[in-house]
Amino acid sequence: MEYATAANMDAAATHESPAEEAALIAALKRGEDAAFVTLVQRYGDYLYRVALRVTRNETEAGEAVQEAFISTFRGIARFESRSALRTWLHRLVVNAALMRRRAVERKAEVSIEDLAPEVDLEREPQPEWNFTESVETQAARDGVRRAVNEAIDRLPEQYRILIVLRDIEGYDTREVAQMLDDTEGNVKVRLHRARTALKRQLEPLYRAKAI
Amino acid sequence: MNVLARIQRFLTYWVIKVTHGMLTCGEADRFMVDYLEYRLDPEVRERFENHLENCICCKDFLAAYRRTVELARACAEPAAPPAGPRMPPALMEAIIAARRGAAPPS
Repeated sequence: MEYATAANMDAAATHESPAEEAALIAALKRGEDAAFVTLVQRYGDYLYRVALRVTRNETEAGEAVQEAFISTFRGIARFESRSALRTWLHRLVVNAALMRRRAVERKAEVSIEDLAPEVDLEREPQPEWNFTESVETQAARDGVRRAVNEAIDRLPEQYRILIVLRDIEGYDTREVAQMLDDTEGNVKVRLHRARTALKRQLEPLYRAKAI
Repeated sequence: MNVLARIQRFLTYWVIKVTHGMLTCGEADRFMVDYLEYRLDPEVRERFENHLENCICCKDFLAAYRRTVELARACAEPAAPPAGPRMPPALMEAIIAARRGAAPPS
């Protein structure tokens, strides 16, 4: 299931040639002030959007970005070019955003039971569901975008974050488990429940001629 | 779904499961994450797909589940530039200033 997403369209916006990237990394390793300014200008908006997706809070997102850039500055000597600079920065800002998110984690947990019962096998055939329209076409409509994002936001935080990390930011299940300091098995179970809960909320969009 | 239909469905699955080793809906449900990530063993994948061929309910469920994942990805906000939010200029200045005051690379 690979296609254009907000996350990878964002990523494409920061694309640079391997030679440019190598030159930037070398300059950063030499501690050049101008290189750091270039880094912040080139990746700042991208990382800020990633942090916003994780934290849903402008202040926390800003602090996460700042932390990620300072970590980059301090750790650039150890950076090995096995992964792209963008991938490394992405991971740094997600980790920083997750730490911020933990610091302000919600006071009261919302139960997911109303959105998706744990055992949900009371299924029926759904002849009126229609998926002939492409995802891109459907997602291009403002009403659909709004409905999907509102539905994601309604998920309890510990489920929402799995949709963000796994389905939007594109980390695999093992990486998500590491980030959240949880087991892969737990992540899979909660991810399935999060997707099921989201699906339930979005079912009106799946009926033919819904929007 | 009325009671008779449920009983009929239950019996049908168990007969097929016993005679053909087909997964139940509950078992198929547990494999959905791995199925979409191509992480099922070939034998389990085949049983999962067999189940879908025989269970319109799970087939419809999976279609909507897959579309849900796809829509979450495609609709993620903030949108990509130039429409999406940008880092506030003051924050950019603060980061550059903070770096000047931070310890140098080790």
